[in-house]
Amino acid sequence: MVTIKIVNVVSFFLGFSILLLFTVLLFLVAGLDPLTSIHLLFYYGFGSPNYLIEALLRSVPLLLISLGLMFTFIAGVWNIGAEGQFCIGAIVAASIALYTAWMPFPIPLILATIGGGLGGALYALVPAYLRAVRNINEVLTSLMLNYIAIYFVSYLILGPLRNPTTNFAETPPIPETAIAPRILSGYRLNYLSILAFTLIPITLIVLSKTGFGMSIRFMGQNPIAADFIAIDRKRLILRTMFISGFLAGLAAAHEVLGVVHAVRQGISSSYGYISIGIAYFGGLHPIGIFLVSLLAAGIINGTRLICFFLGIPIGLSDILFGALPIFVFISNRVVERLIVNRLIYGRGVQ
Amino acid sequence: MKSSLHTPLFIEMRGITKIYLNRIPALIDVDFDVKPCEVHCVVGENGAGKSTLMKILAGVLKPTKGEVLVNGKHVAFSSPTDAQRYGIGMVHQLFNLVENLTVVDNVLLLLPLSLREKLWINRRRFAIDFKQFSERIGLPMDPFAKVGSLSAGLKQRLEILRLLYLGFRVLIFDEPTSMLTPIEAEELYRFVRNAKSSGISIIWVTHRLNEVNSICDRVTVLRKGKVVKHLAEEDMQRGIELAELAYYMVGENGLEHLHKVGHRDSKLQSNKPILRIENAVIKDEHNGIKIKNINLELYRGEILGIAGVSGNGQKELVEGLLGYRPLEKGKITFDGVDVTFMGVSERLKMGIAYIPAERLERGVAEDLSIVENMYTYWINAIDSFRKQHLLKKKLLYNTAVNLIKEYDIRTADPNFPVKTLSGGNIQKLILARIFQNPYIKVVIAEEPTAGLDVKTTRFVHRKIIEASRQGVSFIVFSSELDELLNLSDRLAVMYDGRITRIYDCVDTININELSRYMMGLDG
Amino acid sequence: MSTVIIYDFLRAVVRVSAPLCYAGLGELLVEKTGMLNISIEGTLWLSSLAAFIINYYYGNPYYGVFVGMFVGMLYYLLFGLFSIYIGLNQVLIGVALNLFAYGSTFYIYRFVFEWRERTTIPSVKTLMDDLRIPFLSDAPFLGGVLFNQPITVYGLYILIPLAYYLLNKTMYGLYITSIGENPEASDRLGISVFKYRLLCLCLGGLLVGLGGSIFTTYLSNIYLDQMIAGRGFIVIALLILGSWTPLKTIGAILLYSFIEAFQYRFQALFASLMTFIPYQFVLMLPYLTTIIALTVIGRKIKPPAWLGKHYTRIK
Repeated sequence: MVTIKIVNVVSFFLGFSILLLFTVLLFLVAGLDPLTSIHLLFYYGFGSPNYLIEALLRSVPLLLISLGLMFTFIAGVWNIGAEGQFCIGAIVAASIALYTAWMPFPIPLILATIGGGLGGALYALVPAYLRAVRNINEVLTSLMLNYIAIYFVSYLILGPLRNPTTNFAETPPIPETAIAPRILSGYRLNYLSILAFTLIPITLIVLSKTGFGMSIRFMGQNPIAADFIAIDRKRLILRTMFISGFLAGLAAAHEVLGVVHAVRQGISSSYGYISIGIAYFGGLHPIGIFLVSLLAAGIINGTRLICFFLGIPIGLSDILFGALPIFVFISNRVVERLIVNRLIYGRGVQ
Repeated sequence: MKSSLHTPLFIEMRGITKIYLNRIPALIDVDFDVKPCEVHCVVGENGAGKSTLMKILAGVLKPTKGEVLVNGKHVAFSSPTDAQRYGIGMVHQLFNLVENLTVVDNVLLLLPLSLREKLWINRRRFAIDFKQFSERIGLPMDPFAKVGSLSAGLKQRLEILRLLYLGFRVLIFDEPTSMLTPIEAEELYRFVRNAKSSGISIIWVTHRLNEVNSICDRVTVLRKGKVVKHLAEEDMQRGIELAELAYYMVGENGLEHLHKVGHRDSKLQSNKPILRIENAVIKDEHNGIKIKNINLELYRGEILGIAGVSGNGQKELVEGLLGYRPLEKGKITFDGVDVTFMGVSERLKMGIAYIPAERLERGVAEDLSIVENMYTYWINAIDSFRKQHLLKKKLLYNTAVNLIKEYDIRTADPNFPVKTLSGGNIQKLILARIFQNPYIKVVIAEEPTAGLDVKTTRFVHRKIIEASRQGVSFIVFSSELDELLNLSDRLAVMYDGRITRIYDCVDTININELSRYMMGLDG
Repeated sequence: MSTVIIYDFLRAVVRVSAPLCYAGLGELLVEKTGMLNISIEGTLWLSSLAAFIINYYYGNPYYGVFVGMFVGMLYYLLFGLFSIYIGLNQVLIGVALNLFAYGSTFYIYRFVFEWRERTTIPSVKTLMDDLRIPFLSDAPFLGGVLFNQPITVYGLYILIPLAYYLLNKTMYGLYITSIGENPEASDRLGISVFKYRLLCLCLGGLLVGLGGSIFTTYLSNIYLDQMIAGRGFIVIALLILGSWTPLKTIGAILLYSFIEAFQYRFQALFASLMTFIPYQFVLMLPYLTTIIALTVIGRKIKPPAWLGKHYTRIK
C-alpha cells in the first residue's frame, strides 16, 4: 500500500494555516472585514450543495492533470508542460467533435474525449523523447512547448476554427452529439466528471499494485541504481509522460465537452501550473491529490465569487496559489528536519 | 604562506591520538616527523590509520590528543586553510577542479591575486608562465586544455602543479598511484625523486610496497593505529626486503601462509563458456583507453576471481560487461547471444546480476523500504513477474521478509527505509535479492565483502559457493587477495587493461609470483 | 521613402530589444551561477506594474525605473531565499513565484486604480524622452538609429561591453562561472558560493527590474495585464540559444526583436504574405528555434553544469 506520509499532511495543514493568515492580511489591506470575507470565501466555495458541486466540477481538470503529474514526478520527470498538453488536447477534442458531429450520440463524444487524451499524450511525448533518448532537460523543452501550444491554439481559434457567427476568439459551439450529458439536471456535473473520479482508485491501484508503479518510485529515487535493477528507464520516461499528457488532454476534453462547450482564449487558465502544486501537496498520492484539488477548486470558485460580490480585484486565487506552495514547502522542510528524523527513526539530525 | 615560500619546514607530530566519536581509536600515540628535502613514506594495511594521520596533518581533522609542531612552534590547525598557510597541502583524490574550464582558469581560481590582477586577467601571461613552470618541474602541462578532457593522471598532475605554483612546501600524497597508468606512475616517481632537491618534502602514503624502494628516504609503518616500525635513512640505504616490510605491516608472514587455494578438489567439468568477452577495447570517462585488449571466458558454475590493483581497468571492465559503458571494439557473448549492443536492463533481464562496490549509489534507493528494494528488482528482472499486471504483493512481501530472516538483515521493521541499515546489511540485502532470482546465470561482483565483519564475510562466501554449485557463474573483483584465493576456481590477474595471467586454483599458487603479476612485473 | 521606413524600423528594433537585453543580462548573471530562475517572467510583471504606478503618481518615469529596479531585485532575492537559503526546488519555486506575480499584478493594479469607479484607463502622462546625442546621431544612417534613443538604451551600450568584460576578463567572472559549473569545488577552493550568488541575484534582479520598467515608462503609456506576455520565458529560450554568453545572447535577442518588430510593422503592408505566416507563428519562433537547436546540436550547447541543481555546503 502506498503510504501517506504524515509529514506531508502535517506540513500541508501548517502551510495552509499560514496561507489563511496571509489571506486575512490581504483582506485587511483591501479594507474588508477579514472574518466575514473568509467565511464568504469558504461559503462560496463549498457552502451549499450547489457550490459544493461546482467545486467538484472545477476540481476535475485539476484532479486529472495532477494525477498525471503525480506519475511523472514520482519518476523524477519534471513535466512542466501540462499547460500546453491541455491546450493541444482541447483543440483536438474540439476539432474531432466538430467534424464528427453527424455521427449518432455518443460516438462523437467518445471519439472527442479519446482524441483529446491522445492529443495531449502525443504532445507530451516530444519532451519525453528528447529526455529519454537525447537526455535533454525536460523542464526547458516542456516549458517552450507550452508557449508553442498556446500560440498554436490561439492561431486556430482566430483562424481556421473560428466561430463564424460570433467572430470571437473561440471555436463554434460543440455540437449536441459531442456534449457530455449532465447527471442531475440543474447541476453541471457530467459523465466525464464521473469518469475522472473513477480514476482515483484506478491510479491508486496502478501505483501500489503494479510493477510500473513500483518501478517509477525506484527510478525517481535513484535513477542510476534503477539501471542496475533492470529497470528500463527510457520506457518508463516515455510511459509516464504519455500518461501525464493523456490525462491533461482528458482534462481538456472535460472542460471543452462538458463545461465550456467551446475552446476559448485562456481555456487552460493556469491549470497546468497550479496542478504542479496540487500534485505535490497531495503528497503524490491519489487521495491526497483529490482532496487538495477539491480544496483548490473551491478556493478558486470562492475567490471568483467574492471578488465579484465584494468588489475585490480578481487575481486573488493566483496570489494564493503562488504563495501556498512556498508556505507548504517551507513547513515541509521544517517538519521533516525537526520532527520526523528525531521521533520516528530515533536518530539525530544528520 | 608567503613566509614559508623559502623557509624549510620541520614538522613534528607528537603523541597523536585520534578517537572517532567513542569508537575504536584510529590512532594511538603516534609520533611522526617530516624533514625538508625528503620523501617519507607511510605504509600500512587498509585501516591502519595512515589516512587519519595525514588528515590531521593537513588540517582536515583535529587530534584528540597530542600536538603538532612546525619549526619548533606549536600549531593547531582548525581547518585545511590553516595548514595551507604553512604550505602544507594534500593532493586530493577527488580533484577540486572545474571540468568545463581550462587548466589555466583552474589555476587562476586558486591564486591570491591583487585587485588589479583580478580586474584584468592576463591569461596569456599566466599561461606561458605556468607552462614554463610545469616544464621546469618535469610535469609538463598544456595550459589551454579543458580539464574535463584530461586523464586522471593529468588531473592529479594539475593538482600537484597548483600546489607547487602556490609555493607549498609539504605535499601529502595519499595512495596516489591507485588511478594512474604505470607510465604515469613512473613519471610521478621521477618527479618525486627530483622534487626533493628544491627543498620540498613529500609524504607518500601507500600500501604498495614496491614503491617504497623506488622513492623513499624513510619509512614509517603503521599497524592498527600504532607505529610499529620506523626505518631511518641508514636502514633504507642498506636496502630493504619487501617481505620484511610486509612482516611489519601484517604482523606475521602475511605473504607466505597461503598455499592451498580454492574450494574445489578437482577441475570444473565444462567447456562451454556462458559469458565471453573478446578483443574488447573500452575507454574510461576521460576518454583514455583503459581496457586495451581483453579476452575472457566464464564457464558455467565457476567462480572467476580477478585480482589486481584498483585502477587497472576493473571498473571499466565491469561497466562494459554490464552494458553501462560501450565497447570501442570487441564483442560480448552471453549464453550464446551477442549482447554487445544491448542496454543494461536488457542484459540484466537475460540473467546477469550485479553486486556493486558503490552500494548506495548503484544498489539501492535509500528512501524506499527494505522490502521494496528487493521486489522492485524482481519485478523488473524476472519475466514472469514483469508480465503480471497486478502483483501478488503478499507473496512478494512474504518472500522478502523471509529473506530478511534468512540473511539476518538487522532491522526493526522491514518497511523501514534502507538508509536505516548499516553497510553490511545493505550488502546482505543486495545479495539476498539476487540469489532469490532463480534465473540468474552470471553474477558480477565488486568487492563483495568490503566493510563487512568476519561472520558476514563468511556467510557471503558460503552463499557464493553454494550458488556456484548450483550452476551460477561469478566474476569476482576484489582487492582482498585472501577472498579471491578462497573463492576462485580460476584467478585472473588484471594489469593495465589486460589479463596478464590466469591461474587454475585447483593447483597451488606462488603468491610472490602472483604479486609480481599484479604489479606488472612479469608477463 | 523606403529608407525612412527602414530607418524607423531599425530604431524600433533597438527600442524594443532594450528591455529584453536588460532582462537577458540579468538572468544570464544569475544562471551563470547555477540558478535557474523561471520567475523572471513574474519579476517582469511586477516591476513593470511598479514602474507604472510610480510614474502615474509622481509623473516621473525615471523614478518609476528606479522603483522597478528595486522591485526586481527584491523578487530575485526572494527567489534566492527560498531556493538557495531554504533549499527548495528552484523550478517549483519559480513556477510558484510566477503564479504569485500573475495574481498580484492583477489584484494590485485594480486595487490601486479602483477599477470599479473608473471609466477611463489610467495612463501616464510622461514617458522617457529620446535623447539625441548631437554629434554621433548625425553619423550616416546608423547614427540616427543608435543615438537617438532614451537613456536606457544608452545604458545598454555601456552595460553590454561591461558584461562581456566582467565575465570574460575579470577573476570575478571566472569565480561566477566556476560556481555555476561546480559549486562544490569552488567552495573547497575558497570561493564564497553564497556571497557571489547573492551578488548576482541582486544585480540580476536590478537588471531584470530595469527591463520590466521600460515597458511602462517608455514603450507604452498604459498598463495592460498581458503586457509581458511570456517574454520572460523567451529570454530564457534566447539565453539557451546564446549559449550563456553575453554577446551571443544579445545577438539572439536582437534577432528576435528584429522578427517581432518586423511582424508588427509590416503586417499591414505585406498582408498577403502575412496570411501565410500568422503572427502567432512568429511568436512561436524563439521557442521552436530553441527546441530545434537543443535537439540538433544539443551536445554543443552546454549550460552551466549545475544549472538548477541544488547545492548546500556540507560542513
